[in-house]
Amino acid sequence: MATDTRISRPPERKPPLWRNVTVLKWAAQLVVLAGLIALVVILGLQAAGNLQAQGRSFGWGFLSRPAGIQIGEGIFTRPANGFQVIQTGAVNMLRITVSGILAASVLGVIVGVSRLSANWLLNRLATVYIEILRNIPLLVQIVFWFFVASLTFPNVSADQEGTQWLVISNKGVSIPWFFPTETFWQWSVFVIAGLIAARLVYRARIRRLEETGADTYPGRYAFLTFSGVVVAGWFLHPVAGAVGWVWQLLASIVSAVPTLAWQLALAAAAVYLAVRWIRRFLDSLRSPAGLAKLTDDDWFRIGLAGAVGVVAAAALVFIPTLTASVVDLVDFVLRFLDQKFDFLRTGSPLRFARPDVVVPGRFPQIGTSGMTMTPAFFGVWIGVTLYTAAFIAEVVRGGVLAVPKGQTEAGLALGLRRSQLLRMIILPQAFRIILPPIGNQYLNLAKNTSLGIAVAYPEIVAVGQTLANQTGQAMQTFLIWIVFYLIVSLVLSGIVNRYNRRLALVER
Amino acid sequence: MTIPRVSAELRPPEPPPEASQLGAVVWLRQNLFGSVASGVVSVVLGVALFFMLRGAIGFLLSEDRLWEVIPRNATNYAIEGYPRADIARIWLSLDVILFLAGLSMAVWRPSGRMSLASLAAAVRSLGTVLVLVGILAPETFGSRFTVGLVGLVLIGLSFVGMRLSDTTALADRIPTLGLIAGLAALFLAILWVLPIESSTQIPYTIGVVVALIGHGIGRLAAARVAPGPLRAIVTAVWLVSLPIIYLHIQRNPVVDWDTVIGSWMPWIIGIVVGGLALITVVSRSERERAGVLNALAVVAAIAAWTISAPMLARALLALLAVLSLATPTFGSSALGRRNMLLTWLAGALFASYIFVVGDAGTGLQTRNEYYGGLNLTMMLAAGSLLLSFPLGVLLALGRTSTMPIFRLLSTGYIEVVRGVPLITVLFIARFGILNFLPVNLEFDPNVLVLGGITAFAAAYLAENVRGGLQSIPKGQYEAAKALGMTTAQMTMLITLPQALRAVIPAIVGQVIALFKDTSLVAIVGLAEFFRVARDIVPNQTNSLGSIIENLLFAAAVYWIFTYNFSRASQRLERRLGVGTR
Amino acid sequence: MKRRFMIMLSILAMVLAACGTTAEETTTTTAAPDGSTETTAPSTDGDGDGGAQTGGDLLDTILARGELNCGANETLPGFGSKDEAGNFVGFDVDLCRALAAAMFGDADAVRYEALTAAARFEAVNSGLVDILSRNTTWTQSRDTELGLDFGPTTYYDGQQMMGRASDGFGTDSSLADIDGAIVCTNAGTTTELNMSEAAAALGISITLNTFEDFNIVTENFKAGACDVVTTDGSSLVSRKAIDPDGGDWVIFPSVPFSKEPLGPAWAQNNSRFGDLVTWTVFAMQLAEEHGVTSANVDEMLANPPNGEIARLLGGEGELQTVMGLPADAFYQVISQVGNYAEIFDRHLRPFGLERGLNALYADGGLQYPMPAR
Repeated sequence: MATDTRISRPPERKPPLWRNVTVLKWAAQLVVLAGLIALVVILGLQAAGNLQAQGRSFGWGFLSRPAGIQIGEGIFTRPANGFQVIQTGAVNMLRITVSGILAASVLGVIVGVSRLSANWLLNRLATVYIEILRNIPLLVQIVFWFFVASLTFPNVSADQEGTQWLVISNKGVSIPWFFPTETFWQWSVFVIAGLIAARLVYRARIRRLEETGADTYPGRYAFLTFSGVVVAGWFLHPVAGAVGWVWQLLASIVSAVPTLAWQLALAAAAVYLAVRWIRRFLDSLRSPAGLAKLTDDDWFRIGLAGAVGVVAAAALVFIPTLTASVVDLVDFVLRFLDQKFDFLRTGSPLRFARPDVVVPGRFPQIGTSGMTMTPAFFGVWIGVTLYTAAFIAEVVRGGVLAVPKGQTEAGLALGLRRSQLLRMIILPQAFRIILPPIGNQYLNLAKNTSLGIAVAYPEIVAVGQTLANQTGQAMQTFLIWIVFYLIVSLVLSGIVNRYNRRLALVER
Repeated sequence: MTIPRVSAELRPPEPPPEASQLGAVVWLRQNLFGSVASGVVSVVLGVALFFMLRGAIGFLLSEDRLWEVIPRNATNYAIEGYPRADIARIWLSLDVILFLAGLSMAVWRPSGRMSLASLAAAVRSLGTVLVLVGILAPETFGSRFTVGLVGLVLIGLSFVGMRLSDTTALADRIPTLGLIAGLAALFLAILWVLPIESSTQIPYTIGVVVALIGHGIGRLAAARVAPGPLRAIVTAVWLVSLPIIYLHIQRNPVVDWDTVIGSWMPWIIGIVVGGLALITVVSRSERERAGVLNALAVVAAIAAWTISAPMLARALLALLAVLSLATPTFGSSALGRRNMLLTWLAGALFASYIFVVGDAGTGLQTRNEYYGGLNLTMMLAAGSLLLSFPLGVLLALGRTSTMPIFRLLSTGYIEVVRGVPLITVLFIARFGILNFLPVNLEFDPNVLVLGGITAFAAAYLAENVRGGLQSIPKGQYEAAKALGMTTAQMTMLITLPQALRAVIPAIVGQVIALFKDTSLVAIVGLAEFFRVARDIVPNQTNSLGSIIENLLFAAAVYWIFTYNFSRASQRLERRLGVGTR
Repeated sequence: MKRRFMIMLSILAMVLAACGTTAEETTTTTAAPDGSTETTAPSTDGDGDGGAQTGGDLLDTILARGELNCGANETLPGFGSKDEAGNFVGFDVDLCRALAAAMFGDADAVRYEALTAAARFEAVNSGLVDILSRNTTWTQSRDTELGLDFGPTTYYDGQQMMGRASDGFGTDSSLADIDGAIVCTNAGTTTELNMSEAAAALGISITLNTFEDFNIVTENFKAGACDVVTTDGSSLVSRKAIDPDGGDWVIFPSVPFSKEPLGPAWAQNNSRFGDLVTWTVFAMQLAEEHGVTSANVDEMLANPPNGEIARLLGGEGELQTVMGLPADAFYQVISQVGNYAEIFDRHLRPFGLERGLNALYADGGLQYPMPAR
């Protein structure tokens, strides 16, 4: 077949503009975008008009004005201004989120594994738990638990006055707790150091194990190292006061460098990040045959990344307050840390305290000594914990079942006990499968704390609602909510994704 | 000489090993005391369970509980503020749904069967629970012996059932439909025989009869029509019936026929006839002319907003523009043309119905915010599902599209909505949106909240659909391209149907979540089921102090719905065999 | 590929259409109604073409709509709650009924909106309701910063506390006695602010817990989770009267520690609607003053004993028509809803509330209707 390999090409003829696919695509997109922008502008103008007609104004002054409200619990129970109200709500929300995530993870794993247990009773109980809790709206559960706590728990009585081990009452549940003292920060340096040291030891022992095949007990070694450092830190923590100098030095450097330099540096960083993103993106398109032809979509991504970088850099350069606020924040954090370290500070870093009952007036109350949950906190916390745990349990069960049966059999053949099998073979493998869905559950938990409003738990939605009601600034409150929850969601999913990637790398 | 590696004749398979029937001791040893640890767990759990159950049953059956509040407010729970004089309308809605349910039963599951053994097991569980209640109930609960006795009788019955299921003389598989009919008959018998003071005997009887009639009609239809088209028709009837129930049956519309005939009819007739002509012409034209005609249709649809045309005309023109744009793609063959024309007729008819009835006043006696209770809960769940579905699919297509601005917008919308809690979306929908609209634009709060839930659900649905779209093998896309399909054809005919099918279980999960989420509208003040339980009933002068009872009742009702829904979704998942194909 | 872009074009068309509607509603509000029926029902499909009415006063919007959107309470028996048939009843609810009777001659032409204390002002500002008639205290900041206008006070109330006699409280107890207590009240109310202020002034330390609904406050009080509750005296009296445990409860101090003038509120700059509300309240009080009741109003209309009644009931003069109302507006109010004393006796007296400050000025109270002339 000796034909001419050159195919005679028709002369390149571009289609007319109105039939050019790329042109039409972009025209449609730009028109939709313009339409959306127009819609937003029209709605915004209408809102401004409405506000004006009602003699109201849109502004953020309410954040700095006195709010005149009192909050049931939190860092500022008598907030001086609107911003402190929001802060209190945010911290209350985070309290439930963090403690709820910890509790729900533990409970969820226990229930999930119980569902696979050979023990009939345990298995059935876990199933009943999951089927009941999962199928009732969380709001109903939270309200229910709140009423259980506030209406059915016993009263605090005056005979209980004094220190107790545990107070369960309709005014709150109080438990013993370890509270950080002023030397806690110094000690925490040792805790971090201990973690690093333990990690190094663990790696070393593992390497040893891989080289020699001898049992090197990496886990035990790591644990002993960690405990050693932490226990030593308990007594030696004033030494860590030296870290304070480091913060001081850094702070003085930060404030010594002129703002202009920071502006330029941050702008350069923005541009660098954009360039790095684009290079990585191009690298991902590069195949052995060379760079793939870029579609208009790819060009758009590159253009967008570049534009974001350039705009950010321009904003940093031309709006000095932007940089100044970043610098101020860093400076504030450094000075805050500096205050926490001092050679002269001694004493144990944690203080153990038991709850107490006091009678300040004619009413017995739970004192401030222990760790106290109000009925509202209890309702929201137990509600989100039990509810999320039911979902986590299902995820864990699915993950465990997804581990190939051969792994179990191999483990049993090696003579592992069931508990060992679970701990050493199955859960580590299941963990990789269950992490992404569990991350979703954590996000749901964080969002579900907003139901605290139903039992007047002062989290950010509830306090925002009160604030909006007192000041008439509802739109701003809505914006604050959205931004706050988006940040929380981003941070949480960032953490989960990070672990996810690290686990995924282990996969072979 | 060859050694036969396979024996010439098949040996009969060995019978399966006998199920060990060595009694309770062996069962206990295997299941509760398999090891020392297991034994400890069993004992500890058993003791804890005993006290918890006793406490719970004692609490529930205590004399202090005000359970009588709930039957007294049964109507409140069901419909809340709906005018009591028009309660027949609610029954009628229920009858429509029961009729369709009976019909669907006959069409989808004509011969479902259930083994007597599993029925007996269910009866035995019920009996065990009753016996436990009888034993653990507080002394003050007078009828605890009766309850225990009924439980014992049920356990006895279950053993009879087990025995019968062992003997082959009696067919060990009983039809599910028969069982349901039997339960319905039992229910009616209780209703009529027991001296229950209730005005619900006749409506419930009618409901059961209607369901039976629906089933009979379904049987007849199934014998005559092929299952595929029949199911499509029944699904369409379901979809159409929901708006009809809410707009027509429950609202008692008072249509101002003068306006409709005088100023709307010319528009409707004109647009419908013009639409038929346009679609026919477009489907017969070649590309350039079709393009021009379509552009004209789009311009007309936009222009309708600048002149003072009825809203219905604008909607019809928009629908026409969409259909005519789709005509060159889907309506070029004779069959396609017919389908296109039928779609246009049906769509225009339905849109006209919705607008005429939706715009009409209501003839109901009170002008309260009359939707409420379980009725409103159902309306919100069904409505937001129906409305969020198209929006969610559009968002999913947008997010997987190669067009960057659409992708950016869809992604941004989805991520922002998924990043915030539903309650904030509801607050914004209820109190925020109105700030952006002209003051004299009126909106029903139920509609605002429905919009909020829809906007929220669409983002989650979009992610599910996207999962389905991404699970489709690349070969499908390539094959579609190779057949010369356009992107629209590929999406509508190849990828989207497969994607939707793959994500049905996820969507059902979404529906369950949606149903549970409707309880949140109580916080923004809609009188749906949970608000009745939390705020309305406990605030009645003669129901004070009954909040825990009401909450438990609400929880039980939600649980019954959700649990059965999730069981159904598991069955559906098995039937679809998702993941096994 | 082209078809796909056509579909996209159609989406674009719909988006543009959506913009079009908003623009159209704002700019062509005076266009003739485009053939849609003007109906009184809440439309359920969100169509926008029914609401295009002449801008301006709220009164015109309401008259054109044919019903009043009333923000009511559903959790305060006596003032506003729902009965077992799902209807709103109460003292505050009857004001909305009176307004509807004045505007439309039909006291049932009201669409009620159940509002929590925390949600009520957003509901007015966003236009969700025309009037707030749910025991709202008239304060300076609400009148100015929140963009509201207030009508005449329909009920003069004052904040008090309620404790248990078994805790040693008596009617002579003072605020200082609650030192160290957990005090509960409704969220988003003036009582919350008054309480913190009073505690700060006395230098006592209390924990203030707030709940959305006063019923929950009472439940917590009964269970012992709250040591003391505080809210408007009227709510306390009514709870004490209807609760089986009420015998042990004590209300103190005898002179309320705050002023709580409760009355209707609406979005400001709607003076004609404001006139309607103000004069409807006055009309009900004038009717009481002159002994006109729903029972004898027809007789009074037929032969009015004095000129003021004649003017009020629309027999002579044009006082009502000038306001844009039917001449018999207040006749309808009295005959369908009743005079001030009637609604007080109907809703509040069963809860053990006395007229007290709310008696007419002639009887030593504060209710002083302005003359109808």
